[in-house]
Amino acid sequence: MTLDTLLGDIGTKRLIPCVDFGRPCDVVRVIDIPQSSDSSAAATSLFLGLTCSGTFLSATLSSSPRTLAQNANSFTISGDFVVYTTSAHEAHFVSASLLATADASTDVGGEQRRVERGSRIVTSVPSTMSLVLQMPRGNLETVNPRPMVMANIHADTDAWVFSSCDEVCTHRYQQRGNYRKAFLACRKHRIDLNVIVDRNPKLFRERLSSFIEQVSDVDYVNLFLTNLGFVVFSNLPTRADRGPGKVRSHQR
Amino acid sequence: MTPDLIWSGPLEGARFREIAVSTNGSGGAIGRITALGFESNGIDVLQIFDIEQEKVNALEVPSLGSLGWRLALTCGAIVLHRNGKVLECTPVPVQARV
Repeated sequence: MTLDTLLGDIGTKRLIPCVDFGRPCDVVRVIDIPQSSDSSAAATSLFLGLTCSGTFLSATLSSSPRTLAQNANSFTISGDFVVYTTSAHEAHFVSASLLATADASTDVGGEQRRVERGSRIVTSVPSTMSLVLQMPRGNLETVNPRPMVMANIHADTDAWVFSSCDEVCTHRYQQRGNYRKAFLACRKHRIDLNVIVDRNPKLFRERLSSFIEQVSDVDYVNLFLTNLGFVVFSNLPTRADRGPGKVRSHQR
Repeated sequence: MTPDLIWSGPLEGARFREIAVSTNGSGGAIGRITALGFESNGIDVLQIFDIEQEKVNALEVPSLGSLGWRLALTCGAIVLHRNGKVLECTPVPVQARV
């Protein structure tokens, strides 16, 4: 094969078809989802498209498009979440990794919360767990949606934190969690402190000394102990399920 | 600050309407500029520039041949879409053909 032939072949293949949403999209966004925690593993590309009529679609290279909403007006990516707002004044949070792996017929679920009428997403800041919305009058408002807060708290409680030095002064990672950050996030956003334990009770017991080291303030420890209870945190009803005056948690 | 001319090429009256900049360039590039517009003959045109330490290199890209192309938001890759069809563009350095 001559060089010209080779370059000609390359030339004909420079626009590679990826996905066909089947309808014109106003905004298309592509994100790479790592298939595992191993950075060397190939990432899956997730394609998101929003049409001018409000249809919000997702697709991968190997799956047909999935319609996430018929009335979306904006979307963004925040960490592992695909966040979109609808004309029904709701913000939806769907796991991007689930969208990238599940086939089109599988229900991906997700969480939702009410937002002000006509809100549109401007951007999200995963590190501060915040979502910036533009209101119809043009003012910007920042909210801390519960799914984003919970994702950060879970990441902190599961974290491996760098340990400075051991006896032979060799740096190493220790499995000790970012409990202070998780605790302060729970306190700030009024999340039940049981989540720190209920995420993985066995792991928490193993890391109890780390928790006390990090949350060393006596008042904080007292607050934590008084908040602990026999509550199955994962079974708590969502805000939509709770009516006024209903109990906030299920007792075991 | 006065703007610097980063490229002057043989396009005839092209008007660019979408520009994307990414900082994770490939090879020796520290960044990449992707510009999408249309020429005076009404055909869409794509231009890609790799930013290196001292110079800006134009990459060779395929002819789009029609109107209505849009740039997709990506993390570095060049992805275009039109009528719901999404295509990835793999540019070739101009010097590779010399």
